[in-house]
Amino acid sequence: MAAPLITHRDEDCLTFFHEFFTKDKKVLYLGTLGFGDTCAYFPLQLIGVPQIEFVFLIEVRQDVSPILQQMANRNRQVLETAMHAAGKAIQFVEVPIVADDTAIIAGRSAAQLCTPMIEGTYSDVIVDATSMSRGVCFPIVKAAYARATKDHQWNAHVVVAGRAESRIDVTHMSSEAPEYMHGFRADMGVEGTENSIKLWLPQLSERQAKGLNLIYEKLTPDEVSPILPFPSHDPLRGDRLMREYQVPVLDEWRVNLPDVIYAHESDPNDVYNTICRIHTTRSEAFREAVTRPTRTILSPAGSRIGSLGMLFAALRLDLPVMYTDAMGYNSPMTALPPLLDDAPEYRWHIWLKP
Amino acid sequence: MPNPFRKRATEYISEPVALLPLVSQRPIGDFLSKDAEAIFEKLTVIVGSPGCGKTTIARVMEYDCLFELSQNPDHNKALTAVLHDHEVLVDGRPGLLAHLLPMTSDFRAIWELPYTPQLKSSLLRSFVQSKAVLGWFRRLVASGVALSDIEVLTRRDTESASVIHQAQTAESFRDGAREIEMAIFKIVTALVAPNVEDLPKEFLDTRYDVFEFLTGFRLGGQEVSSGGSWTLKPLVIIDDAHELHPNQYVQLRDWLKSRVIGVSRWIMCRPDVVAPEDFREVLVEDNAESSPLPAGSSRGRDYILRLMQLSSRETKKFRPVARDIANNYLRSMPEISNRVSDVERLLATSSMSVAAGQIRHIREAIASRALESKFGDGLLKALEERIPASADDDERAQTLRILIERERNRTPQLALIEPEPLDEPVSDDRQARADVVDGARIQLLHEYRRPYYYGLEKLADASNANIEQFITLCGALVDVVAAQVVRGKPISLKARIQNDTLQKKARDVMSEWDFPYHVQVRELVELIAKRCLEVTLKPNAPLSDGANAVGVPQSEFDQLHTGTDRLARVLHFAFAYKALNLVPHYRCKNKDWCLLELGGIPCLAFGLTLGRGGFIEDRLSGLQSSAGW
Repeated sequence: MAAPLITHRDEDCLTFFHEFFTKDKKVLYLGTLGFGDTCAYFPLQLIGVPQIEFVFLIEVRQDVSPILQQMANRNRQVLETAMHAAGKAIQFVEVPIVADDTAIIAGRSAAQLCTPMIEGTYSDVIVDATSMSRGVCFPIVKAAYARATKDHQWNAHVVVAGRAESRIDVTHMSSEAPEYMHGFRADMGVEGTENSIKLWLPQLSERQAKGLNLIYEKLTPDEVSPILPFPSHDPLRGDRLMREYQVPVLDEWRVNLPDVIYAHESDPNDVYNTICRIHTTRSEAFREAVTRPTRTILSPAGSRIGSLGMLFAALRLDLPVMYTDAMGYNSPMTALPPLLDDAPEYRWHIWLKP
Repeated sequence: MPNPFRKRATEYISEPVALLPLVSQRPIGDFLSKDAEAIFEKLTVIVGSPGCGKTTIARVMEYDCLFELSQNPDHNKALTAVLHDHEVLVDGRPGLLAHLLPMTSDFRAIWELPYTPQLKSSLLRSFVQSKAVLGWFRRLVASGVALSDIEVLTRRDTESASVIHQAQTAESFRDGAREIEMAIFKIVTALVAPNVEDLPKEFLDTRYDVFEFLTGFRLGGQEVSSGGSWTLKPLVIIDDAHELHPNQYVQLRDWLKSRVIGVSRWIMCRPDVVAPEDFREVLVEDNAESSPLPAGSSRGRDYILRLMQLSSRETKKFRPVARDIANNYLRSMPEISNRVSDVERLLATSSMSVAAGQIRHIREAIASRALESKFGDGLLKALEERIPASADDDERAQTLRILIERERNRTPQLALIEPEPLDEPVSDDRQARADVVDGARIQLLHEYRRPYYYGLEKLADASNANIEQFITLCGALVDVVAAQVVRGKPISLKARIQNDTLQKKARDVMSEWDFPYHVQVRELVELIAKRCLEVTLKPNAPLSDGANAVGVPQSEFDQLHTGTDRLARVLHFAFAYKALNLVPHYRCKNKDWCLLELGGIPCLAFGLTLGRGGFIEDRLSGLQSSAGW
């Protein structure tokens, strides 16, 4: 069984930062300039860390609604103003997400760009997943985790902030072809795994049925255990999702209802522990019983916080992750929403100790 | 009752036993009969939109399907006969060992590696070859052939290559391929690609070129020796080649063109990756009536380019294919097939005329227009005599309405103010063309909801010769048939039910579009459809049965670049998902046009003609500004 995660939530995150990031620590912060104002929450909280450098990735997609770009620009202004006032170094770096032939290159671009930074002379790296797309976040966290595994004096941290209800109406223009996340392939696709018995754990989320169906068709899993968000901010969310996914879950994926997994919507520990438990017990059961290899494949969707549980399970257990990335974002909004002063409802810090 | 049409056979049915009875032998026979020998000797590039049947052909060629047919020809006797005729089955046994190799993101990822173009090209070649070798062995082993019973056959002058690639035994040959596959897999999937100097030296120094010396596999041994040993010719089918980077596609194509290569090789891809000049050449040959070459392929080069989409002259060829496939599917629905075995009998073709009162309304409009135009009875009679006798009363009335408008446009203005009515038509057409009557039918559809889309022919035409689309549309009709059977109603569908079901299905399909850029594709489709509808419903039907396309100069279209032009990206997905059909190099008025033709689904949804050639002239820049991008 994989070791439990070291996590802090809400105000405890700030206490940890204050006590842990002392003068002798040289810290690299890696975040993304997002549309939502939550992307500025952790950088502004970390501004008091004595030795910290801020790097913000700008995910470059060819088709993003102008209103969303305006929101991101406003967040950039907020960050630049605050950092300059505090005398902190801040850098914005572009990451191409879509190649000129419409292929998704997010993970490889991000890894190529951030790995040299992570391999630099820092003592700690904080990856802020708040606004990072999964295709960018997962490989960067993997690179940080790999460094921490090699050097036990070195620390990898992940932070994430989220609101219970988003104020931004965004629709993703999903890529047509699901693929394994860069760096999260395990051995899927080589000769030895062609006949593997595949268990697929997709995270169910609103308006993602089409993308998840594409993954199902590509993966052709033998068993499916969808993950429903429960407990949730909205206690009926799980029920609504089951209604939305009724046809795929029951008719197409042929899920046995007892196989549906319930995991806390905003607690990455719950998703992480659940996946670790299922994978480990299944592997043990199959090891003695069948000659074919068994594999557990994860598909994150929906809330960023829930996805992190999948990320940590994939890292610890070397599990493959299949997903569809966004080629662009559309929004019907016509005016910028006001910036909120109150802290996001959900705030997490995860200390990735190998 | 379960409707098998809801699932596309080759995509979802993996077992040969379930798949083979559903397959039509016609497209496979057509495919194999053209350049019969060359397609197994030269590189053959098979081009077609998704769902056109490429993968079905490839799937049938795979060893497990051929083996199953050789053991149980009753699964599909007609198909077995076709495969025997073309020596894909030889003496009741498979003659080919095919492996379908999809170009997944792993292959595309090689393009992103930070290496020289030569090294990247070499990695791509080696990856393709190692995976093909492993695929061939996997097929044989899955069919119960022991590795010890397989002999790897190589060219006589390549003994040293055989030694290098461990081809002395099947097992060592396969192990060698596994090592290559794993080595490249690690490079491709590494979070950060290793530096060139960190790559294994022996890997860089040795070329893995098994396609050049491999000629076949000989099977012998206990399990297979009932008829003595036999030889299989290896065939690699590179599927979804459009997933590669365009430069990789060209590299792969150029490499596989080499005459040194001993294995059969096909590349399958969407039309958008084929170079415009290659496309043009095939189309020119395809359109040349007197060409001695088989239609849809070009032999005057070092490889064969085969278009799977039918040209305008060939769309009728799809009808028997559609019928075969529908009947094969129906067989798995005994509740229907026990009563009717031919899909054509499910789809009534007797027309459904509009009500007598509506015909009277049309006639009144004609009389009023004639009076206004000073057209006398003699002229009206002469025009009406031009309408084919086979036309129904309502068709006849609406066609006459169109002819009057045309006559009016041709009549000199001065004649219209003459005090005496005109009794002779100015135009001297002998008979109204069939497409004018068809145009009248479409106008009746819009004005009086007279059914237009009914019968197998219309269903096949609405499918754009695309099997997947045909199955989707036919499936909707079969659902209604099944419901009628359960309710004890007549099994045959009336024209109105067919029309309404197909139009509703088309609208549902469009509303479910969820592919990249579907919002923009929908805007573009609606824009084109609206303009086509305006022309189609003009009183004089200037394009007879109307328009369903926008034509832009081919030279302008060739300048589009996916990387920088948003319209190019939108069109890329519009073609891929059959919202639009690309008809390049369409000759009209001595100009070279590229037609952006609405797919069958939008044509149904908006009530437009399914014929080809009616288009509105425009420019890409005009389209872009109309769409507001």
